[in-house]
This record gives sequence, C-alpha cells and structure tokens, in this order.
Amino acid sequence: MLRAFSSDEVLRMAPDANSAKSGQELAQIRKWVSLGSDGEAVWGECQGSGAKPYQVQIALTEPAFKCSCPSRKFPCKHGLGLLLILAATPEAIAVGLRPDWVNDWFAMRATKAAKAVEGPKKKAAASDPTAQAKRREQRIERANAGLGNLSTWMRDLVQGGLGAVPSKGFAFFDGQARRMVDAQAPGVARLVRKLGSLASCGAGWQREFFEQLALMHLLTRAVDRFEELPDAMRADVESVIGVTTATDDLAELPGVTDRWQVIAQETELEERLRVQRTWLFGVESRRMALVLQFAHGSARFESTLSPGTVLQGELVYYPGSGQRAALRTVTATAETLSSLDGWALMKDMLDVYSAAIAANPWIEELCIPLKKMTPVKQGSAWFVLDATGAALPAAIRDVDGCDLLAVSGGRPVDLAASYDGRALRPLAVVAEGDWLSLAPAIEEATR
Amino acid sequence: MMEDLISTALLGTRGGTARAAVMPEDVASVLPSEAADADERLLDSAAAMTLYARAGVIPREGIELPSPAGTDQWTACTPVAAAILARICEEAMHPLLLEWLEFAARAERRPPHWMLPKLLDAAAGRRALRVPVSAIIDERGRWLTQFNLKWQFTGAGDQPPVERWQLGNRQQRGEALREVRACDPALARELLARTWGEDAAELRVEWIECLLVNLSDADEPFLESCFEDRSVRVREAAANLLCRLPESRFAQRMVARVSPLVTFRIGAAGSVLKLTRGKKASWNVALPEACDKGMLRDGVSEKPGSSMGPKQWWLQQLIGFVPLDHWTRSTGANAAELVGANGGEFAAVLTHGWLAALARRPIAEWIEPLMDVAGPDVFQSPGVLQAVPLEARSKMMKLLSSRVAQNVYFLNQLIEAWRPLDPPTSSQLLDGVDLHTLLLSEAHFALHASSISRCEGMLTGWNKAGEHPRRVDQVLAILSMRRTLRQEFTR
Repeated sequence: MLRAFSSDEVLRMAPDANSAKSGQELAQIRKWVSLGSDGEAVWGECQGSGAKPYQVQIALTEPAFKCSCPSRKFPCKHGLGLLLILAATPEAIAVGLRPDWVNDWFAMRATKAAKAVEGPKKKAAASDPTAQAKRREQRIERANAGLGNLSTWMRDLVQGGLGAVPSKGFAFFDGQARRMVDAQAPGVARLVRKLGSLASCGAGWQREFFEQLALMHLLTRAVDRFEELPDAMRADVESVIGVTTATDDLAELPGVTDRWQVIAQETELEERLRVQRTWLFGVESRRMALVLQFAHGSARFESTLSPGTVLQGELVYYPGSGQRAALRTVTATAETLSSLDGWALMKDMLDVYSAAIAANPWIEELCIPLKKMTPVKQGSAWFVLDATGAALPAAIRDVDGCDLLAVSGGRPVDLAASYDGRALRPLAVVAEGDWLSLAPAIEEATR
Repeated sequence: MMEDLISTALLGTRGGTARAAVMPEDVASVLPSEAADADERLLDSAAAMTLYARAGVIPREGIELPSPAGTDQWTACTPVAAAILARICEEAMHPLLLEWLEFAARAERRPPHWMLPKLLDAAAGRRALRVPVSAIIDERGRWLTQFNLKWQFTGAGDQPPVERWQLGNRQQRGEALREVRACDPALARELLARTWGEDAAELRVEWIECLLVNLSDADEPFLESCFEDRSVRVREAAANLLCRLPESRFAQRMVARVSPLVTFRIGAAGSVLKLTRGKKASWNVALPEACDKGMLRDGVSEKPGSSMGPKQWWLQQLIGFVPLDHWTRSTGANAAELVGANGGEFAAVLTHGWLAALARRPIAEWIEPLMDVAGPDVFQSPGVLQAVPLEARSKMMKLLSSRVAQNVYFLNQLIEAWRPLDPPTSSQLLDGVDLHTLLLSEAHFALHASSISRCEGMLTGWNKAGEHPRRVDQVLAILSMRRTLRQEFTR
C-alpha cells in the first residue's frame, strides 16, 4: 500500500516558499521521463536543463529523499514534485520493480542503519570514561578561572553604578565576551553579549539588565561551589557555560520512546549559519523536547522534521533538567496535529515554569503546549487568556498576531508558546484542526 | 523591593552609602548569611529576587474578551483552492486573484481563515480588489477588520475622498476625483473648480479626463469655459469630452462648420434587371478657406503635423470633432453606406476624420466599416475595442488575426478590453495567433475555460523546441491553476 501524503503535508516539507513553488510546477506528469513505485519507494526521472534527467527517489517510510540534482535544498523541488504527483494523481505512477539506481540507494541506507545501531556501542567501548571525566574537569577549571575574571568585572560594574552602562559602548562588552571565549566558556560569552544588547535597549533597560547581571552572578556562585552541586544541576551549569556534551556521552544515556508531536519550529540565521529549533511534545511522557539542527549556507538540515506532524521513536535528552534533546531513531507517521494536548490553565502552566527555573535558574525560555487559550488584542498590547479569564501578556508581532486572530475568531485555540517569566511568545497555533506557524519565516537566498 | 535594589545598583555601591534592602522572608532565608561585600550582597539579593518574581507570577484578571466572530455563512474552499490562493497572493498574480474571487463568490465558498490577513492586505493595497475581497471574507473576515485600520475600507482607516483630493498626491487625487464623480458628479465639478487656478496645466488635463465618468450635459458650461484656458492641451481635453455631448454648443458649432463643406449624395439603385448600373453614393467635399479664431479657440490646431496640406488638415480635425451619429441622422444612410461612399480625392481626409471621431466617442456600428478601409488602425484607442459588441467579437478577432498574430502589444490591449474572452473569441484567438505572441501576451489570464486545455496542448507541443522554457512553464502553471480552480469550485 502506498503511504499517501496529502498535498498539504508535502508542501509543509518544503524548506522554503521558493521550493514549494518550484515543487508545484514540477508536479506535472509531462515533466517526468519515468515514474514508478513499489509501495515502499517511489522514484522518477525528471527532465532538467541538462541532457541527463535527474533521478529522484523517496523512501516513503520516513520519508527520506535522494536526488541527483545539484540543489542543496532538502527536500529539493524534484522530491516535492514527485510526492505531489503521488498525492494528486497516484494512478500516473506505474507500479513496478525498482531500477538499479534505486536498489543501490536502499542497500546503502540499510547498511548505514545497521551501523548506526552497532556504532555507538563499539565507540562507547573504545572511549575511556576516566579520561573523559578528566577532560571535562579541566574545562570546568579553565572556565572557573574565566568566571573569576567575570565576577570581578561584574562587581566593578555594580560598585561604579549601572547608570554609566549605556555610555560604555559595544567594545566594553565585546572585550569581556572575548575573554570568556578564551576561557572556553562560549555560553557565558553569549550571556555577556546579550547583556550588552540589553544596555542599548532604550527606556526601561535598567531592570532587564540588572536581572540578567544578577543571574550571571548566580552562575559564578554556582561554579564556585561546583563540587557541592547535585549531578543534574552540574550538568545544567556546564551547559550554560558551554561545555558541550559529546555525542558519545549521549549514546550512553537511556532514550525516551514516545509519539512526538512536532508542535513548533523556528529557524534563525546567525551569520551564515542557520539554526533550526524544533519543539516536540511527548504524548505519553508529557515532556517537551527541543531539537537543534544546524546548517551552513543553503546546506540541508540532517533530518526532516515537519511541524504539524507526529513522529514515532526514541529521543535522548541531554544531561541536566533542560528540554534539549537529540534524535535517536525517529520516523514520520501519517498522523497530523489537529489539537494540542497541553495545559489548559495558566496557573498550571506557571507551576511548570516555576519548577523548571527552580531546577535550572538560567533557563531563558520554556516552550509549553497550551490548550483552549484565547488571544486578545487590547490597543497595542496582546494577551492570552485561559478559560477562567487568567491572562498573561503576549510578546507578538502585529503581523503574526493578525494571523492568530484570523484563525481564532475570538474563540479559544491551542497554542505552542514559549514563556520567559514575563510574556508568552506564541510559536504556532492549532485551530479548527489545522496547524499554523506563527514564527517569522526566514527567506532563503535563492541561488 | 526589586526597585530598591535597582536604584542602589544604578548609583553604585562604592560610596558605601547603600542601605540594605528589605527582602521578603522567603528570599532573605536563602541568601548567604556570612558577611559579604556590599556589591556581592546586592547581586545575591537581586538574583534571588529575580527568580522569586519570575517563579511567582500571578496571572492578570479582568482582561476583556472581544465578542467572538459570528459563524461563517459559507463553507471553506477546498485545500487545493486555498493553496492556489496562497500562491497567487505570494506572487501577486492579480488577474488570477480576481478570477479566484469571482469563482469563490459564485460558488459561495470562502477562503480559509489563515488567508484572510493576506487577502485584506492585498485589498488595502489595491482599490480594485476591495469590493470582490469584501464580498467573500464572510463573518470571520468582517470581524477581523476591526483589528487593523488599513482593512477598514469604508471606515475611519480610509480618508474620505474629499480629504484625499485636498491632501493627496497626484495619483490619490485622481482616484478621489473619480470616486466622487461616480456618486456625485456635481460635487466632483465643484472640487475641481476649487483648485483649478493653482493646478498645473498637466493636472488640469488629467482632471478633465476624470469627468468622463458620468459625463452629462450638466458639464457643458464648465467644459465650454475651458476653451478660455491658456493651455492648448486643456482645450483639446475639453473638446474631446464635448464632442461626446451632441447637444453641446461645441458639437453644434462643429456641425455648423462642417455641414456646408461636406455633403452626401445618395446613390441611385440600378434597374432590377441590371441593365443599367447603379450610381454609387458619393461625398462632395469642399475645403475650409481659413482657420479662424473660433476654430483655434475650439481646439483646432493650425499647423499640420505631416506633409498634408493645411486646409485638408483643418477639415480632418473638424470632422473628427463632429459626433459620428450626426452623419447617420442627417443623411438617413447607415454607417456602412456612408463609409463605402466614394470620397473622391478627399477620401483619406474623411476616413481619418471619422477615425478620430470614433476614438473620441466609439459607436459600434462604425467600427467594421471603418476597419474595412483603415484596417486595425481603427483601434488606436482602447475605448473603440470596448465598444465592439459581445456578439461581434469573435468575428472581429478573426478579421484581426493577422494583426494579432504578430503584435503582443495589440493582443494585450484587445484582451484587456474584452476580458474575459467568451468561448468563440477564445477559440478564434487560438486559431489565428502565433504561439510566440501568445506566450508573451497576457492571454493565459483571459482565455475562456473551454480553450484552456487546447492552449496547454499547443504550448506543450511547442515546448519541445525549447524556446523560452521558463515562460512556457510559468504560462502552463497559470493555465493549470485556472483549470484546477474551476474544478475545485464546482465540487
């Protein structure tokens, strides 16, 4: 049986609007030299500008794409076009045996998958736990020295008075951030830069700046007494400092198997690096997971995580109390999100947040699924209300807010929202059975 | 409490004047008890207070809920129709958007709610979309307009036209004037008179052209007064409108000038047995002796632009200002007979005069006879195309096929005037057109649905040659969207 994706689902897989458009243009049978499928795989040859047609193949289980075209977008327009044909006119695709080029790819995938299962065990056996622990210890020590320097810098600021901060300029913060990078504490360097940007925020900067400064001070306190901290908190402190967890270390940890709802996704451009944040919600575990993927320039992200769908499989959480997790073995399912089984009362949501910052005071924001919430615009201010009328302010751009109001019509909707202790930031909405992103899209530069 | 800490921090702890802030008991109990420096104590307290406040946020009460949107009257369009709409809006394909909106209105299906902001934005940017968009946004859309001033097309978000006329730029003023003119012609005249003395000649010409909407005899005194204007172009613009008013003093003056010069002699029929040949009808033409002050004032120009003699030039202009129906009325003959009559050595003067008159005020009956003698030049003015009656269009398309076949610009004019093309005209267009011309024109937006498949077939076959591959794809995509939309809205 062919796993049928609807045209809608296929278009959501598109990495950007341009690809979706080109994919639709390629969803015309006359563009294809050959089309075939055997239920598990679908393949086709698409006439491009060159003499040889591009060979496109899709493993329908995940779906996984491969195409011989030079595009670095993923999935490319040929893959999308092929899936769109499958969605709209499956009868145009001949059922038959896989040609060699399809067989080759599937054989390669099978070998890779087998390696992935065996791989971590072998490596884990090879790596020496004592040596690893020692390396981490050294990094903490070096960071500790760096943080001592930071502590002095912060105390100087407070002694001299924060009133003088806005006039200090970019270099003052940038210099300190560089010292933190040298001390192998890139996470702290980022916090220092953030502090610098808060100082130039204009009216009302004082509170935000001071709160951020105080939490950084708390971090230096935590590092001073690192040995006394419980294990989970040590892991949190390490992650705030920027001591990365090696993939090998993750392989040691137990995974969590669940049905994972892909409730929100956001992609940001940092210099030439695209950072994709995907928030998953475990249906059974009722735990949120944040999966980060990185890609340089227009390179593709390693895994296709289509927001608004449900994945099945195993994730592994990073050490500590945070939401950050890595994919282990996750595959797509046919299910799409028609509602979010989230928190329906603001006070319950706030309890979850309080518990989270109690465990890890440096959490910057927490993504939480919310159920039956009404978005309200009052003058230029936005709020989100639960059924009892309890409201939290919402940080939302007017353009996204109008999309939100359009689908809500003044009635309760389900939201995936991020909370930072001050305002909710809606990332996606599920209304009338449809998932809609509220995160600003970044337009990929067309090549 | 946090405020105390902030003000201490702003001043700095160096002076040693900082006083210990009073902390809530819960917070005080977690602070390090050992005596520390003032700055450390301050930062410790601030960290605890920050977390204390963040962990203890109490939701607000009493935010007023807006009344929710009413239930939509129509069901949503299909997801495929919605996806096409999203693409149309993203790529700003306005002719297709209009078609989408028409389909939706006819089928009584509404867009999905998530498309409403984009549709309202599109309508806010283009006046022509406002009525068709307002017609299909249903309850939800009407509810949504309260949140964005730009979407309130008839409300406070939109300045009244009188204000736009006073304060707007050239384009806005023209739009405002046409709007006022459509509902209150007299007010438009009044507005125009208010700034008449200050507006440049170029603007005065444009404003006069705006009066074409709802033109009537009531405008005659104002237009007549324009003949006192110092700009030739203003006088010409006024003359162009006045010759659409057969009862105007201007039209009467022109008729009086031309009548003694140009007379029609009715032909004699031949005998029934065709033993004697009939005598063809003919024109008797005399040239005006001079271009007097009156003629100059009425917009006749003295110097011919071409190598034509000045007297012929004056006569040609005079004929151009005479309403065409004067000839049918005064002679009792029909247009075909009048154009077919022998014009002798001045035949060209008559034809060009009539062409000018036709362009000023198109009369369907004259189009074909004049095309017989002048060819596609009849259609210099788009108004003439619009005057071709529906039932005559496919035949006209056939007559024009050699012109249409090679001339993208002309084809686009024709499409603009006749959109949407009816089935026989569409089919006639495909019969005669050169594929290259078709491809570069806007015909794919206007072809009747019954011709879409055929057009796709023609382009697909031609595509093998590999010319303009991107444009072929683009046109085929639009044709396919139009075909799909038709199916989606008849489900």
